[in-house]
Amino acid sequence: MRANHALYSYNYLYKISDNQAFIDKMISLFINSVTEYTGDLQQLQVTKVLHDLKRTVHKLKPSVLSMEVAGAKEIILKLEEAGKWNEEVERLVEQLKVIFQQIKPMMEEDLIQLNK
Amino acid sequence: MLDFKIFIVEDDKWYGNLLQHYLSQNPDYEVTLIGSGKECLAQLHRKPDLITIDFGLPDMNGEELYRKIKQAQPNVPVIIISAQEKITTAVDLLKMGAEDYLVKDENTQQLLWKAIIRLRENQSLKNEITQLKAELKTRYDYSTSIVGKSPALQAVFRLIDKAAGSMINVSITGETGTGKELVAKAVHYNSARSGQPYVAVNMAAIPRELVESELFGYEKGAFTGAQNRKTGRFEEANGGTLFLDEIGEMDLNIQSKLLRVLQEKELIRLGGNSKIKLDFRLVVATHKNLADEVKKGNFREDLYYRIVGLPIALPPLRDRKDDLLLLTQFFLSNYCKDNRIPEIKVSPASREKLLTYNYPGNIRELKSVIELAAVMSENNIIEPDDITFLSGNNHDVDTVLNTELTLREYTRLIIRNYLKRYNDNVLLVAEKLDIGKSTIYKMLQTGEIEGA
Repeated sequence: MRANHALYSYNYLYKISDNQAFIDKMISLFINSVTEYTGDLQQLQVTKVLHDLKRTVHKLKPSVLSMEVAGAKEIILKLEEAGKWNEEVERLVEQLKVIFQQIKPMMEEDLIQLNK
Repeated sequence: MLDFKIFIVEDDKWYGNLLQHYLSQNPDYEVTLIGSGKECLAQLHRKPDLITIDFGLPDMNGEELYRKIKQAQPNVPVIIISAQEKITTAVDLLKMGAEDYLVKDENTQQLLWKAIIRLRENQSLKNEITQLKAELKTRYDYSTSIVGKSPALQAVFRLIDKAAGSMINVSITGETGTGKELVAKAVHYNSARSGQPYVAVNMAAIPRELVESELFGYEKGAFTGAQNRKTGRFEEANGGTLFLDEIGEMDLNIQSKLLRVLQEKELIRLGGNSKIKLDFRLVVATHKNLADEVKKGNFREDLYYRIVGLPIALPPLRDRKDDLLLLTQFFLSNYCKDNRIPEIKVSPASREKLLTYNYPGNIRELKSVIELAAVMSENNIIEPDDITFLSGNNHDVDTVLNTELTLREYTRLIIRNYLKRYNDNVLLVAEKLDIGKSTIYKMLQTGEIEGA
């Protein structure tokens, strides 16, 4: 399976290990995390608590950056700097959610391909 | 073999698994992934060798978890890993004693790998130091390092015990080669200060003009050639024991300075202004009779009373002949062990020869005699011809023989010498010299020879 995709990359995982079971496990864990983060972001769009948003961003940052998710880095950095919940924050959260929703089925497809 | 337990406390399963996989590449590491602070605390009974904690855990923050871990297990190293790049947080945690603070990025796992290697190297060095200190202590366990069972030596052991159990100054006297430094070390390494420095200075070995700078240290520029600050021996011994060997050789001028240091418990380095607090136990040794030196005006009386503390007088070897064969065996065993050769034995005739000599150089001389005899011996047995005494006794015999005396006068000289050696035991002397006991009694009665 290729390590590079237009919207994300597995390069980092392959750099750490060539163990396919490990790669599968990490992709699978990332898909679960993305599902969880999407739910969290949706919830935050309702509560609009900036402190909770920053906690979520803090948590998702390492894995999302490591998987080189296209466009996510800029959004994360802006959200870390945000001082209050405003329209810009709202827009960024929505963007991030959309990115996650886009990449999730692609990664699920990758896993299927890997297991064939 | 799994011998290094690592806990990774991380609520982000993806990141936690990544670190776990990476570290598990070392087969020596047993890596456990833990999802919360509470679970980590509950698992501490498994005695991890290292804990890495994510700073932003959901149930408690990194600082709180760090404090709780340290409360439960103060010695376990903790590395903080965080996506947060706040310098102040990192500095605060490092000040609290965290082993390291790593920011989560693409290099974290390599940095963690290196941090663990560094940590294990430090731990290994610490263990080595602890082990060496324990070995050193065993080495100066005087029941094994100071050999002998004679009553005179047993009395010395009791005094070492008394000295080690207190902080009193100790003064050791004894002829050269009786083991004064060994006793000083035994006092130090069996005392509460055994983990602190032991600093030995031989006053006879330092040129007079250098004694002051050697003991007190100096500041840069204190005198020509003082290009850097130097710590003196007093300071080096701070917290531990200072052993001043051959204190009887100390110059009167230095004696007064030593007295001041002992009274004030502080010193000023040569060329310096600031006072340095001192706290050490002083052990001194001399082959001279210091009380006599005081009478002769060579040693300050006030200093004498300040340093005399607990006096330990070491008996000369000739007064503990009971120990001579034990010491012989001790030196011979060490010699064979050091040279990796089979055991060497001492023939009965050689034992007799060893026992008849007076050893003016004491134990040091006996050691040399035995080692030389071991070298000269054949078939792993020391015979009388292998033994050469080193302190010029043969020369004395030559001197006596070259003196013109009558046979009667020689006889008188020899009997007097033997009576002295065997504590006036006439029967033993008669047996040793193979003469009638009446010959000796007659000479004693007529006053031709005197008893001791």
